[in-house]
This record gives sequence, C-alpha cells and structure tokens, in this order.
Amino acid sequence: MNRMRNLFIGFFATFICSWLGLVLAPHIQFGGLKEYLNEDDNQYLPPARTGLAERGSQVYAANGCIYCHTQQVRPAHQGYDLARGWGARRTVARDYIHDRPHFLGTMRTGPDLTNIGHRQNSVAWHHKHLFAPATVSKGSIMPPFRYLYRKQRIVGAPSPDALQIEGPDAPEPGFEIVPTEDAKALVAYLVSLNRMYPLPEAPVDQ
Amino acid sequence: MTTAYLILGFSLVAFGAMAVTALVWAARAGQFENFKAGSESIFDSGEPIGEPTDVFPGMKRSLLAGSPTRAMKGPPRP
Amino acid sequence: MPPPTDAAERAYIDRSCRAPVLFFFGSALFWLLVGTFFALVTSIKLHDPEFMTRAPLPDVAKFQAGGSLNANPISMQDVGFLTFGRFRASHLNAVAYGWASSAAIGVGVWLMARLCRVPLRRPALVTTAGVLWNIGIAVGIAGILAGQSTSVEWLEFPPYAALIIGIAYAMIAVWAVDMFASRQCDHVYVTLWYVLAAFFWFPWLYATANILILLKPVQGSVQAIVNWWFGHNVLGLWFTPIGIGAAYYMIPKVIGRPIHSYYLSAIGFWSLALFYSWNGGHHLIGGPLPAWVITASIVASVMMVIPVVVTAVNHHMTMRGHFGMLRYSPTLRFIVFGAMSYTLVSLQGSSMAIRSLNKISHFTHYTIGHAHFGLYAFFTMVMFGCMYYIVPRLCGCEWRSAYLIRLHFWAAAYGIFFMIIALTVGGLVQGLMLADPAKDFVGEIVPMTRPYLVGRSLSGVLLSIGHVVFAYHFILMVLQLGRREGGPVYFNPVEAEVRP
Ligand code: HEC
Repeated sequence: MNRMRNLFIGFFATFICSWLGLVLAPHIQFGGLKEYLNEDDNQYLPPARTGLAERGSQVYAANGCIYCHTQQVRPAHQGYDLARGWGARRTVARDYIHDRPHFLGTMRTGPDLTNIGHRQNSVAWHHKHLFAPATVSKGSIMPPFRYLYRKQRIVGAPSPDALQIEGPDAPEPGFEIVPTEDAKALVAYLVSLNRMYPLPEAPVDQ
Repeated sequence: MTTAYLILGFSLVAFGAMAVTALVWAARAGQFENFKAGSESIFDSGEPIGEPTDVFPGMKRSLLAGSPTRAMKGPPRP
Repeated sequence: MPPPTDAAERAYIDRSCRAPVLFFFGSALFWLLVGTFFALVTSIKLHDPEFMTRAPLPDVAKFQAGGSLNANPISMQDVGFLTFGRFRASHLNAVAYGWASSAAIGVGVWLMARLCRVPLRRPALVTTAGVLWNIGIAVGIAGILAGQSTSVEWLEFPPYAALIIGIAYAMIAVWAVDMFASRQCDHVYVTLWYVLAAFFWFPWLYATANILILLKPVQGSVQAIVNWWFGHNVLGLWFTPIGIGAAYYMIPKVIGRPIHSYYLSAIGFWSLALFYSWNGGHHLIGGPLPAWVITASIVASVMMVIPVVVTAVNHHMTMRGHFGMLRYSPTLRFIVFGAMSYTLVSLQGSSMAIRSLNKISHFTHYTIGHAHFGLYAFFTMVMFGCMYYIVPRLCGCEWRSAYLIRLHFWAAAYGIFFMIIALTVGGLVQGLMLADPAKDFVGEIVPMTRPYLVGRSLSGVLLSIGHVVFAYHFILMVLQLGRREGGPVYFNPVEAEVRP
C-alpha cells in the first residue's frame, strides 16, 4: 500500500495547491467586497438592482446571451474595449458583486454589454431589437427572440407597450405583439447595465 | 489581502516541501532505477515486445512482416 | 483457479469488462450523435439566425380569440427551446459530459482492469454509475432546453442534474480506488497514474465548482475565476490525463515496443499535474481580477510547454521507425493523430496565454477553434482509437469493414482540420478587425466572419458523417455481426481456452 499512499498524496498535493491559489486566495482577498459609498451624492456603487432587472438577469442566463456577449471592459493596455467606446474605464471586481451568476462571457460575436444601458436606454428600441434584430441592425446575426413576445387580438385600443413593427414580422390585422413578463424583465435588466461611474480603484480615465 | 498572501506563501512552501519529500521518497524507493522493467511491464509472453497487436480487419498479418518491428525483432512467431 | 497463460488471463480480464465498458461506449456514442446534431444546428444558426427557430404548434392567439382548433390548424410558432443560446449549451454539455466523459470512463475502466491485472471488480457498481450518469445528462440537457441553464460555461446543467452526475462520478471514483487497492500487478505502469489521478481529481473538481457557483455562490468575479479554474481543469485534469495515459499504453502496445523513456513519462505526469491545474486564469486576462491571479495562470500556461514537449518527444521517439504501422493499424492512426494534435494544441494554448496574442485572440472564434483542436483533434481522436482497440476484445469479433474505418478516419481528420482552419483564420480576422475601432461592428466585422462560420458548418457535416459511420459500425459489433472468419480472431488467440 505504500505506493498507493504516496501516489494519492501527490495527486492531492498538486490539486489542493491550485485550489488554494486560484479559488481560496481570491475568495479571501476580494470575495467580501462591499458597495462603495460615494460621499458626494450619498449613492452606493454599484447600485442595487431592482426586482424586475434581477429577474431579467435570469432571462439573460436562461437564453444564453453570454455565448455572444461579454460584460467586461479590459484596460486600455490589454485590448481595444475602451477605444471601441464600450466603457469609460476598465471593470473591476466590485462591479460584479450583485451578479449571480457572473456574466463575464468569453465571446464577442456581438458587442460588449457592460454599459449597454448607457449606450442605448430606449426600452422600445430594445424590444424591437430583441424581437427582430436585423430590422434595427441591418445584417445582424443575433438570433431573434420572438418567443419572448406574445401575439394577441387587439381589444379596444391597442396596448401601450405593443411593438411597432412592419414588414414580414408584423402581425395580422386586428392582432398586436406585446412583450411577455420575461421580455420586460430582460429589457429592464439591459437598460440597468451602466458602469460608467468611477470607482476609487478604477477612475474613469484608465 | 494579507491573508491571501499568507495562504499563497504557505501553500507554496507546503507544496515545495511535499515535492521534495516525494522526490526523496521516489529516489529511495528505487522509482528511478527500474525504468526498463517498468516500461516493459505491459508486455508478456502472450503479447511480447516486437508483436504488433492491431491491424485493419481482414488484413493479412503477413503484411506486417515487412514492418520495421518485424525486421528488428526477427521472424514472426508461429 | 488462475487462468493458464498470460494471453488467456488478459482475454479473461478483457471479457470481465464487457458489459460496463460497452455500456459506457454505447452511451458515449449516443451522446456523440445527439451532441453532433446540436452542434450542426447551432453552427448554422450562427450564420443564418432564422434557421430552425419555429416548431409546429397551435396558434394560441387565434385560439384564445375565439377560433376553434379546427379553424386554426397547427402553424409554425417561435419556441424558446430552439434558440441558439440553449442549443449551444446543450451541444457543449452533450459532447463534454455525454460523449467525451463517458468514453473516458469506459476507456479508463478497461485500462484499470488491464493494468491492475485483475478482472473487473464490482461490475454492477460501474454499470449503475453509468445508468445514473446517463440520467443526469438527459435531465440536464432537458433542463437547459427548458430554460434552466445556469449560464456558467461548462457548468450549465441545473443543480439537480449536476447532483445526479456528481453521485455517479463519486461511485466511479470509489470503484477506481477499490480496483487499484486490489491490483495484482508488480509495477504501477504510468498510464495507471494518469487514469487513477483523473478519476480522483474530477469528482472533487466538479463538486467544488458546483458548490461555489451554484449552491453557495461566491461573489461575482470570484465566481468567474472558480468557473475557469473548473473549466480549464476539466481539460487539464480530466480529459488530458485520460487521453495521454491511454496514448502511453496504446502506442507501445500496438507497435510492440516499450515507451522510449519511462523516466520522461513520469516527469511529464507530475509537471502536468502541477502546471495545468493553475492555467484557468488565462481565460480572464484583462478581466476584473487582481493581477497576481492572472499572472500566476499565465506563468503556469507557459510552463505547460514542459510536460507537452516531454510527452511529444517521448511519443515521437517511441514511434520512430514505426510510422509505417500507421497504414496497418486503425488504432494507431487515430491515436497518433490525437497525440500530435495534443502537442500542437498545447503549444497553441501556451501562446494564447501571452498577453499580446491574447489581446487579439480573446473573445473571438480563435478560442473556439482552440477548444475543438483540444477536445476533438486530440481527445476525441484518441478515444476513437482506443475504442477501435478495445471493442473487438470485448465483443470477441473483429470490426466488420476496413472501409468504414478508413471513411471514419478521413471524415474526422479532414473535418476537424477544416474546422480548425476556418475558426482560427476567422478568429484572427475578427480579432484584428475588433482591434481597429474604425471598423464598424455590424457593418464590417459581422459580415467578414460569416463566410468562416459557413465553412465551419460544412466541416461539421464531414465530422457528422464520420460519427454516423462509426456509430453504425459499433452497433454491428455489439450485435455480434463482426468478422469471425479464420477461427479465433488473431488478437485473441486463446479465445477457445477461455470459453468453458
Ligand atoms: C448568436 C449570437 C448572439 C446571441 C445569442 C445574442 N446576441 Fe445580442 N447581438 C449579437 C450581434 C451579432 C449583435 C450586433 C448586431 C445587432 O445589434 O443586432 C448583437 C447586439 C446586441 C445588442 C445591441 C448592442 C449594441 O451595442 O448596440 C443588445 C442589447 C443585445 N445584442 C442583447 C442580447 C441579449 C439580451 C441576448 C440574449 C437574450 C443576446 N443579445 C443574444 C449576437 C448575439
């Protein structure tokens, strides 16, 4: 058994070493980060998310937006992110303390969404885009998320949140397209994504 | 922060110590001596060294007779 | 009563693995086909987003508005389970856990029995684990399609499915320790180190990551590092050891020549364990993490050159003078292809961790190309090779058709080659264009990458052909329709002695 014991000690040691270094140490170092209180306007940063936006983040997770969109802005020396106008500064650990799960992402088939709420805060635009991306963004290969919308018969006046769409995607006369709760939550989440403010560890000019 | 560095330092030291212990043990236990026997341990009388053990189905084994393995290890076994 | 000869003993041990290993191989191939289907559709959706977005369903709006079902028959409706994001996650999990891991377990179980020189112990435990494993994957994929993906790459399975998989895996780990403890061999061959270590590491890894990300989640960017510590270690501490371990057994065994340097293989093992486990952070270069985590990972990624070169040299020197055997042995063909890919993909991986290349290649199809290089050109090819060796020894008959094997090999080899080229070149173009802020995202970059994505879909068709061919061939074997002419098959000269 001597050999078996030694082999297992080796397996264990190599593994635990990486666990201590890549999991435990980062957790201890910044796993307990708190919001930063901006003394000037008494605001907590990053701001807490509303219930609807929080639910929207679950819709974001369920439909695999992370496979095409990142939510991280690299510093100027480590990429083109700032040059492309995707943020005012690099993102840091504190930016993500409300994220469960994290949406850092690994792929940029589509643009980075760290600050999409700043770039594009029109709810109507987002609904139209999600319903049929190519209609607002010609040549887009983003999948349509029409299943997050519902077709219904217009009873009396058209609903205020009905989508204004023409062309082949438009519903038959007498019907309208309205967002489901999921779509509303998702858009609330998207417009809440705004990390343009400075943090003490990340001033905006970096 | 300090804790992180402490853990890191500690794990490095602990790890280094383990690595050294393992090496010393391996040397003492003769792990570095019997390499030839070790590498040959997967062969035996049924599938000896010099005997390829895989060909395409239906391929005549005699085809393998021309392979370098054969050439080096002498005539095919009966 | 001990079996009479070495050959008979070996045949006896092989046969003892029959039911569990064939079960794992069969389910692996099933998930391979499922995963391939998801892959093809996902790939097409990426250049043609309207592809397969609708399914035939009753038109609810009209129905609610007072129509009857007869008046409003089934029409094509948009559905969520067909969306790109869910299909892509299903693809990854079907191939990573369904195909690659099941194949790895099957190969690992067989290698353990052979190298421990004992007939498979507790086959029922292994088979039960296999059944649970399959249930876990089926439940997990259904969960993803239903919209319950966790959206954490490599850990998309919802927690309830992950639990089933974790239990199944723990059973395998327990079995492996038991098997190893009862070994009859005098020497622990290096392959056994790799396999045993992999069986030991993976359940631990899987459990830790699931707990820290899903059950008791740590904070945002700590999750990210746990995510990639896990994601990369699935490759480094699970697939790679099984793949390399198998190559360390198969190459010498097939050509009938001991490994060139046994010493190097031991060095290779420990340096792999040491460096690979630290690689994860290189997925987060430039990300919201302290510099030291990233730097440590970059250093470890570059250090990976050591085990890789050691392994490459060792395999090459073993093969030297025997490359002619590639023409005669299906197993060797697949495994040598895989082993060479391992060298290339690992060197590529080390280079991708270097900041200046990472700046460009990060977040592009280049990375996807790299992932397929590793999981397909290396690992999957090695698993195919092992299956070509193992299955006849379990079924007691030879593969039906050399033609089908060749077809499988060339479809796989060309398919993966074109896929890697398309994604690597496409990714570089994408990365270089992204780096130039004057290039418009939708107007210029998206249309530029599209042809490469179409190319990737086409290469996927080639791969699919190979998979279907192989699955068909495998079914023939399981149905005992393999070749038997000429008496006992040559690789099992003592079949008659074993059968009572
Ligand atoms: C197949 C990849 C893909 C997936 C999946 C995807 N997108 Fe996109 N997305 C794109 C592409 C490509 C663009 C750029 C073209 C455009 O604006 O449509 C884009 C653009 C966007 C934009 C506008 C960004 C800007 O800077 O104008 C938003 C917002 C967005 N996507 C949200 C989402 C959400 C939310 C999801 C998940 C429900 C999602 N995307 C899923 C590919 C994708």
